[in-house]
Amino acid sequence: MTSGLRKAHKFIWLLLIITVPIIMFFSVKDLEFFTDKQAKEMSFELGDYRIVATDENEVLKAAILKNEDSIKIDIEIKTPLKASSAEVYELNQNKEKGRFLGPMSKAKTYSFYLNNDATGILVFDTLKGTEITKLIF
Amino acid sequence: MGLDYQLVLWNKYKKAYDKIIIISMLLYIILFAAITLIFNSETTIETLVIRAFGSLAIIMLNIILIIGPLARLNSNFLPILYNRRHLGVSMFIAAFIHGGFSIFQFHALGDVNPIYSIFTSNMDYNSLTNFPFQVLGFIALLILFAMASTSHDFFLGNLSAKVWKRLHMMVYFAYALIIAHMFLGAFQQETSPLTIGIMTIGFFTVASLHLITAFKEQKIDSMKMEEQEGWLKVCTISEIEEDRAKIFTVKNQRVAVFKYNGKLSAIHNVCKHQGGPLGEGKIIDGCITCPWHGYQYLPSNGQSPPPFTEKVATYQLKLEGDMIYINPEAFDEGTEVEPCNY
Repeated sequence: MTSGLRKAHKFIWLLLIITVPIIMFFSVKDLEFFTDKQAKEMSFELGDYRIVATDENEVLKAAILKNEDSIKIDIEIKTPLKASSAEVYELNQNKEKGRFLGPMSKAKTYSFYLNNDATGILVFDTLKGTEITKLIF
Repeated sequence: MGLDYQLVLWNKYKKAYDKIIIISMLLYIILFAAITLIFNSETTIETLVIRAFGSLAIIMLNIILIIGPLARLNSNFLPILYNRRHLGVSMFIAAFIHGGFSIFQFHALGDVNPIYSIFTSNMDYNSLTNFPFQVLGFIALLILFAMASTSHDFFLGNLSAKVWKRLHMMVYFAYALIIAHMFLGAFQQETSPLTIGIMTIGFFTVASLHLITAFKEQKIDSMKMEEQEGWLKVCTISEIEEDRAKIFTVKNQRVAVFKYNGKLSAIHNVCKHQGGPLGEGKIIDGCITCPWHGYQYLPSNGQSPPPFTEKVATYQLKLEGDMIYINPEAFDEGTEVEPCNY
């Protein structure tokens, strides 16, 4: 390589080693590595919770459970979702897409904690930007 | 080195190397599919293909990117460098399968042009974590396509080494785009610390090796040589191995001083083919042989032996006792210079 090319390589890699870790850091800093997983693995167990509402459509069954401290939703996926990117969001008071709850894929029961003012849930295909299904409580 | 352009200049090493590439790729895909089907049996075949080939392509790209600096740091890696081009094309094929299936599954089944859909299906361009990451992967795939399709020496010869090299240095930009594509895409949905950790370690390994090499090369470039009446003091004869060279920086240019058959000759260190370091090669059959792809030059005039036409600049040497001196003014490429006899 010529001296110019050597300098260009050094400059490019100095630039990459500064910028790429910044992108890496900000893209993962808000990810919940363990809590989502724990929530996903939870089976539909009542414990000290009581069921306050249930709903069902062709894609999923959902039950809202409450105890003194928290409110959660258990979602049972009836058949594997065809969408490869299914994410669950709360519906806010305006019944619009609100807080991200977690991802879903295969057919099983998922469990997510909800805010007290949640009005429903939305299952959303992030890749296509389309709604898969919605439940309003 | 070939006089005519052929699709591939096969030799037994290239064939063995290509077999290793193909078998390794197949083994990875089979292993990936088996593990996926064991732990996530409901995965669709399209998703399996997308993930298997996407992860294969990024692993291969990391390997490709460390070959260059490893070969600079340790000459044992030079045979891999010699065969890197086929690995690059194979990596593009894996990336193309990943991209092709993704475009088909996510964008080709609607009533919108799939390419238009990649750019418009998610318009959240001002968000980081919800950024349309597929756009990044698509641009990276275009760069890899440009590189794979121009990787043959025909394009190197016709585009000129300078344009070709600049085009192929776009791989670094593609690499950054692919990392962003993964962190803003797959890693937002599959929040596994293991995969994120492997990718992070991979990036820092690649970047560190490139920077270590860059600073080592900078040290050689900044070496000062003692001047004596317009001649620069190089080294003693015994410091150069027989049929080998020592490399020095003269007026910001690397020069290789070769020792062979009781003679000394100096030529510009940069091979005309892909900029390989001629001074790290050796003299084979009387010709300086580039360690990267075997291009050859005669030590006394810097010309490739007929019928080849490549030429590099030559330099005049003189001896005072055991000490070698070089005239820093380069002669025109291919100029005959009487070797120094010792």
